[in-house]
Amino acid sequence: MPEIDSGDTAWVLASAALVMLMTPALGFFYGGLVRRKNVLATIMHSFFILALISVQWALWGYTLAFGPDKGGIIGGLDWLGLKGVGAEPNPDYAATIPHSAFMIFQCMFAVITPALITGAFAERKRFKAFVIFSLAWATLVYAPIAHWVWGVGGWLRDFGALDFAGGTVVHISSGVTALVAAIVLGRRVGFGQESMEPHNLTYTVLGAGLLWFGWFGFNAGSALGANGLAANAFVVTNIAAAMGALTWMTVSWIRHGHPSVLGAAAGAVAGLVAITPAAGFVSPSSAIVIGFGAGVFCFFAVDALKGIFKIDDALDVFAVHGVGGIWGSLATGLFAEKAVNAAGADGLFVGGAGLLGKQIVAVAVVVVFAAAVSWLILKAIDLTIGLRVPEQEEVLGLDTTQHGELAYQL
Amino acid sequence: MIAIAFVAFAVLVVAWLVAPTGKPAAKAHAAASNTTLGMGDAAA
Repeated sequence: MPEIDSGDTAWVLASAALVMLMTPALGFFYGGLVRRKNVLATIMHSFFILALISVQWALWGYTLAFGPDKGGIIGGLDWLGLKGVGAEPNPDYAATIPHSAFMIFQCMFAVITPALITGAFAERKRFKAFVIFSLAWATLVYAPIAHWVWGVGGWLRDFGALDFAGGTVVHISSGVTALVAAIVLGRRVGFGQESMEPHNLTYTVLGAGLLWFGWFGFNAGSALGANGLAANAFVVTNIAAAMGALTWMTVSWIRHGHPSVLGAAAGAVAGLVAITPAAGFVSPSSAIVIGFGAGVFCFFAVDALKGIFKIDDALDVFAVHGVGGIWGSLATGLFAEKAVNAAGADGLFVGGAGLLGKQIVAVAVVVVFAAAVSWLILKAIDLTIGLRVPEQEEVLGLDTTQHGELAYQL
Repeated sequence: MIAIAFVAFAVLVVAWLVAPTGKPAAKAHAAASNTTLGMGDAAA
């Protein structure tokens, strides 16, 4: 009979709260990056998703993602409306905490993942289209991928791909979707001609700091217990964030002549993204290298996407979450050590031969699936109600045209 | 891996030592202004 451990339960519940905070934090991170006329609409994307997916998760999201397996592809409907999800532990997932604690922890992941995508279509998407897209995406993209990677019986989990806290499930899925959304929606009016500077970088840095804080719950909470593995995940998360910040800032300093504040904030996020799949499998020294790589790769991905390919992923979601998630997932295949987590595997640099190949497969499958299904959802919405606001409304700003409100009374 | 971690950090420290000392403030706003939104510094 599984026995509840109060320490584990307290840590997982606290972690759920930490991860919850990441969504409004993201609202500030993104809100500071957009123009003043769109700040409320941008923050609203995150805040609304917190409410929307909290309910969707309870009604059908959780059971689809984590319910009793159907063919390795999706969970069943046994836990619809959280029926049967209560105080008793579910030993398949976490034997020492209430099942409802595991569920609410996972809920916060399901919330933040579609919120990440909103940065790609910032400043031009209709609110109604955003609502329907988020609901459909959480159901048709997030839930299946979560089941494949984390669900008992999920085929990628059984295949042996490792993803401690969501490199594939959260970051690659949202990053790739962001890229598709940016392409389908098209560029903002004035892209390439008008100045589109961040209107308040103080919000962005505040948001990054709160994201860093919440990420301790995201990664260390994924140990599902108050133990050494959680401590390791906590430590490597901090190190990777720090290295990401230092590296991106340094690259921008060398290339453009200034140590960028925005670069430090963005780099921290990139480091956090990259360490996410690896946090429970790698050592602190590996985290330094992973964070360094994130700072370099994601910096140049931003330049490439906007500068070379002219894709208006407004807030660089693919460059940070897509590229960072891919780097982190592959880095897991390089740096993972069974010495850190016996339930994991050894990566290439520790003498393991097969893990990297499995990570490549997992990355490829998630990229293709997320891209394809997201494209279908976006096209369906565009054909029925339309994705973008009219050009006039975009020029006036979404705060007034979508919400009838102004952020600042100046 | 610990040695590689030290190397990575050392690369950053060296970069800080050789990085430019900063451009005149008068040009800062114009330099930051860019046609694209995003992270990292504005392209020239």
